[in-house]
Parts: sequence; C-alpha cells; structure tokens
Amino acid sequence: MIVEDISELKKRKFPVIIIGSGPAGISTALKLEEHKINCLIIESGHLGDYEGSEKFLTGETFGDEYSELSKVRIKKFGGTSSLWGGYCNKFEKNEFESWPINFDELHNYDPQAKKILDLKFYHTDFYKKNFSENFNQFNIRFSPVKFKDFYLKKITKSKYISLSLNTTLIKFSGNINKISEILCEKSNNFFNLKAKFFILAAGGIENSRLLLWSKEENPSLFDKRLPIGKYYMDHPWHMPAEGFLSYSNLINHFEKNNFSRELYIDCLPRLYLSMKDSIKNKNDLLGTGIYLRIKNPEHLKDNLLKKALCIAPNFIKNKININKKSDLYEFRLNLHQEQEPEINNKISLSQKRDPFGIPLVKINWKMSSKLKKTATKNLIEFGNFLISEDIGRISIKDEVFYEKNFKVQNGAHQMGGTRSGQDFTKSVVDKDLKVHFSKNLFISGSSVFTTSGSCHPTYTIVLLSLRLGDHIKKII
Amino acid sequence: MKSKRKFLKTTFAIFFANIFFKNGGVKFLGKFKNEINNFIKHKDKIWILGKNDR
Repeated sequence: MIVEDISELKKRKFPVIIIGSGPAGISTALKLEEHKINCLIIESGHLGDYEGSEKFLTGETFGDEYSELSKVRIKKFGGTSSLWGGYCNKFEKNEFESWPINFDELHNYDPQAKKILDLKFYHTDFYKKNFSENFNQFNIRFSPVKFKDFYLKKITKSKYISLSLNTTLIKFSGNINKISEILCEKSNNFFNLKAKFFILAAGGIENSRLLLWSKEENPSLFDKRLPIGKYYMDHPWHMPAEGFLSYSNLINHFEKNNFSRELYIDCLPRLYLSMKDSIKNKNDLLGTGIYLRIKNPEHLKDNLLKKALCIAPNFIKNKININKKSDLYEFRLNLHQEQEPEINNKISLSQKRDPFGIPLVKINWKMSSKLKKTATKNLIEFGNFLISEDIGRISIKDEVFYEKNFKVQNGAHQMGGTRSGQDFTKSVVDKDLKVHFSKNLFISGSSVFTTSGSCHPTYTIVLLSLRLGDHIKKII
Repeated sequence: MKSKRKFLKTTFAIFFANIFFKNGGVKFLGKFKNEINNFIKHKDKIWILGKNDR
C-alpha cells in the first residue's frame, strides 16, 4: 500500500525499512512479502520525473571523462531501472572468486530472479560455449520489466509492502553496533523512523553518499577503517571497431564446429563473445564482452564496397567471385569492459550541497593501462580470428589500437563503493551484505559488488536482493 | 645468402608499398606483428588484414 500520512508512518511499526525503490529495493521487498514480513520502502522521488531532481543527483567528476551524474541517475519510483535497456546476463564463475558469496549458492535464486525480471528462455538458458580457439560465445536475454510500471500495482495492493514516496533519508543515527533510527524528510517535515533492520538500496552512488554523510555527522557510526566510497567501478562501453564480413562464411564456421542451429539462430545478427580464461590469464587481461552487430538487412553499400576494395582488394574480390556481393555485410563492434577495483577510484563528498544541505558527490574515476591493453588485445585477437577463418576484416580506432585515452560511454553501471568482502579494511559489507560491525544495517544493489565482471549488473542485483530477503527472514 | 635475399625483398616490398599506399590515402605501418596479419592505417583506423588481402 502507499502511505501518504506522516503520522501513520510514525505510528506503524515496520520491522524492516528499505531505503530506495530500484531493482534492489523492490526485489528485497518482494522476497520479504513472500515470507510475510512487513516492510516499508521509502523513495525520495515521486512516481514520475519532476523538475529540480537533478539538484540532488549532480556531482563533480575527476580523472577520465565521465557522464554527467544527473543524466545517469534517477530519483523516482523504480530508480535507475527506468534508464535500463533490459540487458541480462550472468557473471562467470571465476569472476566470483574474490567475492565472499558462493557463486552456486547465489544462483539457486535463478528461477525467482527470472520470474521477477520476466525473462523468457525459448530455446536455451544462459550459456557460454566454445566459439573459437580464443573466444567463447555467450547469450543475453532482454527483460521487458520496468520496475516502476511492473510492480507499482502489486505494491499498492500488497498487505506486507508499504511505500512512502517523496520521502528522503537524511541520515542514519545510532552507533557502530546498531542503527537506532533514520531521519527522514517528507513534504518539508522532518521526522525519525525506527525499525529492527534497515536496508540501504538507494543506488550505486547514493549508498556511499548517504553512508559518508551519516559518518561525517556522527564519526562513531561506522568503523573508520571501512573503505566507504572506495573501489568504485563502472563498465566502460565503447564502439572501437567496425568492419565487413561474409555472412555465409560465418554460418559455415558455426556449422563446421557443430554448433546447433538453435544456438546461432538464437543470437544472429548479434554475436556476443568473450575471451577464454586461459588467454586472459596468460596475457594478464580483464574480462570483456565483445558485442558484434551485423548491420542487417543492409548489405555492403556501394560506397563502403569501394572503400573495402581499396583496403583489402583481394579479400573482397575473392568473396564476390565465390559468394556474390549480397553476402557481404558491414558490422559494428562494441566492447563492454570489466574494470578492476582500485582504491583510488572512489566516491567522496563534495563541498557543494543539495537543497537539503547534504553534500553532493565527487567521483574520481580513471581507466587503467590494463583495461586499455585488454581492449586492444581483444580486438586484435578477434581480427586474427576473422582472418584465420576467412570470415571478414576489422578496423580499430587508432586511439584504441595505440592504447591512448580513448572515449567511452560510462556512468550507467555504478558499482562498488560499499563492496562486499571478508576483510573490513577492503570491504564495507560482509557475505550477508551486513555492514561490518553493525547488527542491523544491510546494503543491497550494485554498490556491494566485489568485482565488476563484464556482464550487465541488474540480474546479479536481483539475485543478491532475493538472497538478502531470505537472510532477513532467518534472523528476524 | 637466402636471408640476404629475403631482407632485400622485404625492404623493397615495404618501400613500394609505402609509396603506393600513401598515394591512395593508406599508410602501411611497416611491421608484421605475427604470422597471419598485417596492419594498415587508413584515416583514423587501423585495419587488420590478411597477408594476401592486397
């Protein structure tokens, strides 16, 4: 149900208060509802966009070029899922090695996560299969769920989930062992709310900001050694390459290697590849998803054909003689890169403040030379694969080829800042997503990611949130 | 003797390739990174080509 009245909020006793109504907050609330546990979600935004919200979301960025923060974050019911393209895929098991959470145990929640995200698997589940000597092929599923539209009705009718919109968390109060209450603002009224457990699920950046601000107001609230805001990560996303290929030769490659027809019909004209672990380890590289999109149904246009004839005349003439011109396609290639957790990539508080007087964020974010080397190596190896199988040819932007400061799109996948781990000097939450030394403060969302992997984060956020819901049930 | 001939052949090939490609707006980068490919610069792009593509 939606709670409008402040006196009702104060009067009712909620065992669990969830701060934030994005995928993490809503998934946790749905799990608690399953266990018939009452919870209150407080959301600082409204149901829709509203003027002035950017004053709370903006911030300063330093290091490599980074997105304007108010453009990649949203303050409304459903959170940043309103900006989400629906991409879902899974971490690789070896990418989970440094996490305190067991990969297989987490993926016991797969069926429930798929239900929440309304993921349909017509032919195959998530898979990762051998594609070539150096690459595996993986698939992506697209979720149609916009949390705002999909779950508002359910939450409004729920007996166990209460939602208070336009309610901003100002700060936590309590001590290192226990959060006693939270100070909130709603319609220019300030009031305290108490609960047995608090779950902070306000977003990849906002989680760190709220903890940092509460700590500044009350230094004894968290252990000073906790690296709050540190190890911030993102997924650099860019289009560093394009080229042309023979579609029939690509299909021949699938058939020659006994790929099932189902497998390639499932993905083409998009192809998702990642470098094999053995090659990554040998060359000390990070994870990267190669997203190849064949420009379908446009065949190689005449101007591109002329260019291709200038670049690789023998290859093109040969293909035209054998397969005809209509077999040649242009493709674009994107990289979705893992960023390693580095202590200097961090969220801190700025001198500038939002309308409530809470400091805005300051983000230091820089891509490492290892990340740049990974991009180049992946592209060259993919180019070599196209040559060795005589499928096509690729061109790489020279800034990427020479590992200079290449331009990426970023800011969409905000991870880290309150990462999970066993060591409290390198992590903020433990394997149960509980803040170290605290008995009743939990964090949910991508800010708890120990590593970023190269997959899209939402699916893992939902898995973690469901697991947290079960954990709360055990301890309540 | 064989290696000397090979060296001369490669040098001449690179020399003529440079003249030809520069005229066509394509710059040959002049080194083979491994067995199967060579790298050609065209405007702001580096093409990875097979050895017999040109």
